[in-house]
Amino acid sequence: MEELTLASFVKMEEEICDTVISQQEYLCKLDSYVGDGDHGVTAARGFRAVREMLHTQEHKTIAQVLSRSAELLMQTMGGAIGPIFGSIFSGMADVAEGKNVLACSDICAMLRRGLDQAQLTGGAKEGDRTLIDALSPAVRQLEQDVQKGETLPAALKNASQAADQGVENTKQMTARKGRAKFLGEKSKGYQDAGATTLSIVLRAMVDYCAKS
Amino acid sequence: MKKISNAPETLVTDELQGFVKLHSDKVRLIEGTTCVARRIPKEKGKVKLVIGNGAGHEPAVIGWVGKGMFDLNVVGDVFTAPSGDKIYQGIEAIDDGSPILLMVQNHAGDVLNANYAYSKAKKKGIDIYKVIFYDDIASAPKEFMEDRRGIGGMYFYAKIVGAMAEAGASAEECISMFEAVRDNTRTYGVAFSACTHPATGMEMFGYLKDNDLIEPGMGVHGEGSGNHCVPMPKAAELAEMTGNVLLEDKPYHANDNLLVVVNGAGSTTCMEMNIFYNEFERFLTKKQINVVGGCAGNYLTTQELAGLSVSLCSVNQTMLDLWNAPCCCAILTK
Repeated sequence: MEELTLASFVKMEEEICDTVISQQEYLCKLDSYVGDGDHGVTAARGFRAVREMLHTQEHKTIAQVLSRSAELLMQTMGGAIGPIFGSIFSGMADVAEGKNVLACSDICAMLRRGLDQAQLTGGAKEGDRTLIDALSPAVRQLEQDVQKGETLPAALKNASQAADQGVENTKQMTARKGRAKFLGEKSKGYQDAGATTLSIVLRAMVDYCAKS
Repeated sequence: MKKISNAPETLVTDELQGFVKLHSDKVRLIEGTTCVARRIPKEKGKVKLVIGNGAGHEPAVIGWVGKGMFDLNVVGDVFTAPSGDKIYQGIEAIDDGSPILLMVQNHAGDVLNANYAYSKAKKKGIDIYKVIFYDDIASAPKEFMEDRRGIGGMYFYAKIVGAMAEAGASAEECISMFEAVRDNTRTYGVAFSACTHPATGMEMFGYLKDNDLIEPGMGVHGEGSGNHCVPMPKAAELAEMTGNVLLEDKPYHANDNLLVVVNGAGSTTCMEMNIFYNEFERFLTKKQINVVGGCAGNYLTTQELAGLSVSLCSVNQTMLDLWNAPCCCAILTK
């Protein structure tokens, strides 16, 4: 698959929702080491609302699907993570505006805008032990692969691996944002739950593109 | 998990419905929302106090909605701040052109969503103001005061600024009183036990289970590290330990007039709080500090966590009069 149409984009987002929902317990467990252990519940609540919207509403454009998703994620997740995931999706919606099909370079530009918006909203930098530590290296990898002219499935796969590495790196970081920051050095040793969710989203995109 | 519930998804709505039935003379649930508002709104033109927060900390903050305290509490999911849209919807529902003062406890989610709601209300032409509260001295060093979490000391501004708004003070006056209360307040907490998240059934503060350890400086969401645990001291020692940290941070001095709130974390018994308060008052008296008002109870809780936080606020006569002014909400009637 080299391009995503509206129909395939909706299917891919369904796959994202299903995957995040299926990881609810795992994400709670990760959160429980440093927080109140409900990140999985929060994430699943958000993506369940998105899945419901994908199934029940008629979609005219990719941008519309994304902005509806952004709004739902923000509303239903709440907490700090709601506005941050909302920003990623609304940033992606802005770039997708007017596009009927998405090439690899489009998805790259969308994720870049999503990353920028999330950082604007949450104020986190790389190294603060947040989902930015997964998204940021993924976007950088994607940008390199777009330059090189990689295919969409290959570029997404590389980006997803960069995100996984980013998640792994959060184990060595001291939290500087969110509740975990109050743990200081003690937050080291555990991977960040939000970053993990982000990496799960990317992996679902890879899986969808690989089988379609 | 042995906790009364129907389903994790309906914990908050079920709870709020019960709460407004119990206190139907004081509060109402705004239909289709998780917003608890005063049954009889304040007179038009007076500043309305609004706060959003996660559920799971009851009786806070729904218990402080009523005459002389909050006008509206927007409740999120368990330990999760409500979304900016939900906060905005609540504000819109009570908006009658009176100034709105959005009060924010300093936690990442609360701040982000309050900022969103504030901007949206501002754009819609609502006369809105916003203030942020921080008081937990364990959460950041003094040089980073504004990074500190907002916890139990909120009782002071809810009551003092609440009384002021009720009396008809302007938004500017309420804000400057809020800032005075915040700057004069310090809080320090200790946890004694584990507790269970009511939606996931997962244990929080597990490292305090089946031992005689307590953890000073824990947060209200299990964001403690378990690294600083100490053996459970005697009441007098506990009062001295918490008291010394609080006095040094502000610092509070001899002849200061202080209000004291002993806030139970959820399952702290009334007996323990009375014993603690007795020792804490003794400690302050020894330091020649005047206790001009105080209360103890499970207010801002973390489920069935045992432990407590102590909040101090140095006050002048105006603040003290406002603290003692009449109010009528579920937790407190004066």
